Amino acid sequence: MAKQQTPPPSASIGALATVALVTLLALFGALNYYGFLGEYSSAHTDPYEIGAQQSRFEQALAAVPPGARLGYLSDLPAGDQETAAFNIARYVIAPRLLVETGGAATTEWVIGDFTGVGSPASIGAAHNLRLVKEYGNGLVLYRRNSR
Amino acid sequence: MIGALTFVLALASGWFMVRAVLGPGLRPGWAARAVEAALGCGAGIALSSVAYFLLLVVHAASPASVAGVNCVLFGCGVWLAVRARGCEAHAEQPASGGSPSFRWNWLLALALLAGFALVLSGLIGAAKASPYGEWDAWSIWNLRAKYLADPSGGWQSAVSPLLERSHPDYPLLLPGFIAMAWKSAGETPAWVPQAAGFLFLGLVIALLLGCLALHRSTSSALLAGFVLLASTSFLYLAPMQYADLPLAFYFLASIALIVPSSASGVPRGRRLALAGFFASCAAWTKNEGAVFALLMAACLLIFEARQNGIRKALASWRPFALGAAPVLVLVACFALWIAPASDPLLHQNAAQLMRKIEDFARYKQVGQALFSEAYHFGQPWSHPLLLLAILAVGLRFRRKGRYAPALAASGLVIALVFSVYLGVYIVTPRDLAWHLHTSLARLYAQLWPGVVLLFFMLLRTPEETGLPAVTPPLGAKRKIKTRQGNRTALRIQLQI
Repeated sequence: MAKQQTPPPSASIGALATVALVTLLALFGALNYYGFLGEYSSAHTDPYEIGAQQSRFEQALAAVPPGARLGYLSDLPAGDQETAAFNIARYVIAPRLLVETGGAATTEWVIGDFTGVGSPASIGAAHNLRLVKEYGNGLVLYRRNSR
Repeated sequence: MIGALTFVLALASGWFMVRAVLGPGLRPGWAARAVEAALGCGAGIALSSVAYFLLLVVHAASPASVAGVNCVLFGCGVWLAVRARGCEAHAEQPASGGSPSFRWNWLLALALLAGFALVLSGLIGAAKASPYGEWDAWSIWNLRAKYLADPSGGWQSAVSPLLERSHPDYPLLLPGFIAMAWKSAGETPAWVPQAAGFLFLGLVIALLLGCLALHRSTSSALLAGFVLLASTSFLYLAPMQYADLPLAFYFLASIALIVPSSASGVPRGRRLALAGFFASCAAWTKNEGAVFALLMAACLLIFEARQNGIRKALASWRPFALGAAPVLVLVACFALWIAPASDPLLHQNAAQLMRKIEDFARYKQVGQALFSEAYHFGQPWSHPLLLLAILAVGLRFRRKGRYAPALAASGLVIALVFSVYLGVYIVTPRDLAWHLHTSLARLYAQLWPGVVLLFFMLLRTPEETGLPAVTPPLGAKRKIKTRQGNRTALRIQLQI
């Protein structure tokens, strides 16, 4: 008896329709997502303003010895805004280590990052800090008073 | 320029090494190259990250030493590849599969390329608009990379307990790789983490498509590509610059090497060793990776023992353990002595834990978030779950596959890892709503490529849904193999 051959399989009509539907839906989604990304990108340009913060902190960093660990003082109440401000400052200042003043670690140099309410000198004095320089825009540099 | 060279050198060294391990014989050629490239680049990134961390530990990290180590790794890769090629010349080349392919593959491929080109251009626009990535990127991963690349050698800041809001205990694969390129460059350009994010997205796509083309069919691979294209929440991880995307890649790599079972041309021992290595890379990427690696090891052993008994299971499991051991030892040393776990999750007492475990409202809240985040994983009309449902109905699943035990083991690992994630939510000391909102979508994304791979391994290919086999005369075979048009005509004739 002659050996019989089977033909190569081919997709059924249902499978073709499935493949076409999935392809069209995915492409439709891609098109929509592209539009969404365009709108989102134009509305969220550097949303945390890290680029702007880098130039803001530059001058103060130049006045501090390289490798010095820095403290951080803010007049923002504890919460999301304060966390964001601290983390942004920490990223911008890295590889110098930034720690919160008032915590376990004490540092000789402290960055003050204020929203403009209150006097930086008096805020610093409350933490035994002497005002070294005000750089404007709420940024100040302190040095810890020797005992 | 030097940073870019080091970046590329790391990828190339891994590529050569993986090429040597996988060997020849995988078909189709494009899929084999895609899998080699994806696994190789992922391995190269992990190796250079580990090497850089070791240089830091011995206080020998400098631009010159980084370049030197990468050159050595590259040399090793080339040597292994050349040596493997020599062996290949003497080895018998396995025959090509030659199985017929779906006739509309070319159209699917064009559509997929167009879709990805569109979405990638949008994602690149998002990355340009937000060059430092999203919150975790600059507050955890890239911040720690900056410390690791510190020109004055203050890398310990990356693991300092003073870094309390930036998780100093998280493992260092991604920061280590970025820092390695930054150290070579002598500066910290934003393109390095950006490129790493998009690179890992490319690696996931290449590995998923390549693996499915090798083990199922090109049409299955392309359909999986469309599902990934619709997974918008997953795609957005690339401009976010988070470690969840590398983690998703290493999960996928480990699963992709285990799933083929005996059906692959690559020796089982080599595959398992590589799978173990990639599982350990996941552990060096994020803490979730350690859970994955341990569960993967346990599930492999259990499934093997059920089939062949514990003695044989231990013998065949050994390559996985050996492949995973070096990096897992590093991860263990890191967790024990360099950066002990500081997560508040681990510092709760039994009473606190029990109070949360007995609180039904927490389960309800987690359940609601599961649905809500799943809904937002894609867009309503092209949601990836909708696409998978359409494919399941239209193509249906295979009744019995050659890969069943390996698939079951991999599926169980994914399910168990996800269960652990859910358990963490139940007992988290953080605000539950905040925790779910900020992390659940990323946890889905970590496991998503693995889920898609397993789904398509089980699904019939479009070709397999064809008409019932008929028996043409012997002479018809040549026509069928050579011309697609003839094949269709012949089938119609035979039906009549």
